[in-house]
Amino acid sequence: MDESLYETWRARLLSFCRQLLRHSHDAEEVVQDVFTKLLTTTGRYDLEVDPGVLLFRLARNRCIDLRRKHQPTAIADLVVAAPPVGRSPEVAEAIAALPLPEREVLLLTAIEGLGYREVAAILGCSLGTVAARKYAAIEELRRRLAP
Amino acid sequence: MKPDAKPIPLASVVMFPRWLRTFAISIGMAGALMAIVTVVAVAAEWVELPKGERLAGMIGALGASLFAFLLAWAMGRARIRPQHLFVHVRRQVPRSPSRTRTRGWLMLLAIGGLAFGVVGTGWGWGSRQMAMTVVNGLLLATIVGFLGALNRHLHRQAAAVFAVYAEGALDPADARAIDAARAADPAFDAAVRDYLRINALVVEQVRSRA
Repeated sequence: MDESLYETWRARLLSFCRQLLRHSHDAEEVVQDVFTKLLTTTGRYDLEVDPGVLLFRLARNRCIDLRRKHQPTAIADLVVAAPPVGRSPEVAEAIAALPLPEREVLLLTAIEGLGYREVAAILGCSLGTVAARKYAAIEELRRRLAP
Repeated sequence: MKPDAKPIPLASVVMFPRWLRTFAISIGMAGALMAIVTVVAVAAEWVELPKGERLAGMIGALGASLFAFLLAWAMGRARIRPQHLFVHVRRQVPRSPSRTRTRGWLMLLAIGGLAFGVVGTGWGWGSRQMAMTVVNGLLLATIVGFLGALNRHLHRQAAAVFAVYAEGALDPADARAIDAARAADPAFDAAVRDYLRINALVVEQVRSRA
């Protein structure tokens, strides 16, 4: 793994993990874990084809592991969770309230502008499932943000 | 969406779930097998059936088999039509967990009761009329549950096509057909605009936090 890969993808992965986990420290930990895994398992992953898909998939899986591990201490997490920031707190709250499968599709398509095929490859599901989750997420946001 | 992303053809989104096709093909194969077994059994003189019953049984088995195979073939070719896309999208799916749970229990009850009714009728438990009532009632419940599942699947598939179309990722030839349907329906046009407005809000929000 070369250094440029780390520089190119670190900020993007961090942004994705931060918004998926809503926890800055955990997001940092996930990104570190992903790059450590790549360093320690040289040759296992093919980074030439599509590093974005691979890195996001690894980060997403690690986020899910971390969420499972932290579930019993969810109240403690809320105390240190990153507060919703951005241009509109209402939109941030509405995104944060979405179920995880819908939120991750929304974030992957919005942060990186990834296509449905790439998101499907990251999540390991069909293109139709990704598109249906995106629609459900947008519909839920529309309902929540309606005046 | 990446501008260089390969367009997604509408034909890649099937209208009927795969399990439904598998079910129809299984029924077809069972029917064909029954017809073959009947022919072999009668030819080998293992069973003796009157000519009328033999003929009726074989025609029934072959008919059921042919119908099931035709149904499976039609389901494999069925696609969401552009003019029907918004109709399917507007189907509201109940998202309440309690309603989903209730439907699940009803389905379980229907299948369990159906099996009980069939066995009870066969063994002559209680009155046959009672068993038949149970069977018919539960058969109806199964059909209702089946239609509910199909309805949910159709909504989901249509929602997927809608999202792909609204974001401009659909194959241009398919998108043109949907454009025509959209031009004819102001509610469809408003829904697409609303979708894009919320999507833009999300992109702006997420990127400002990045």
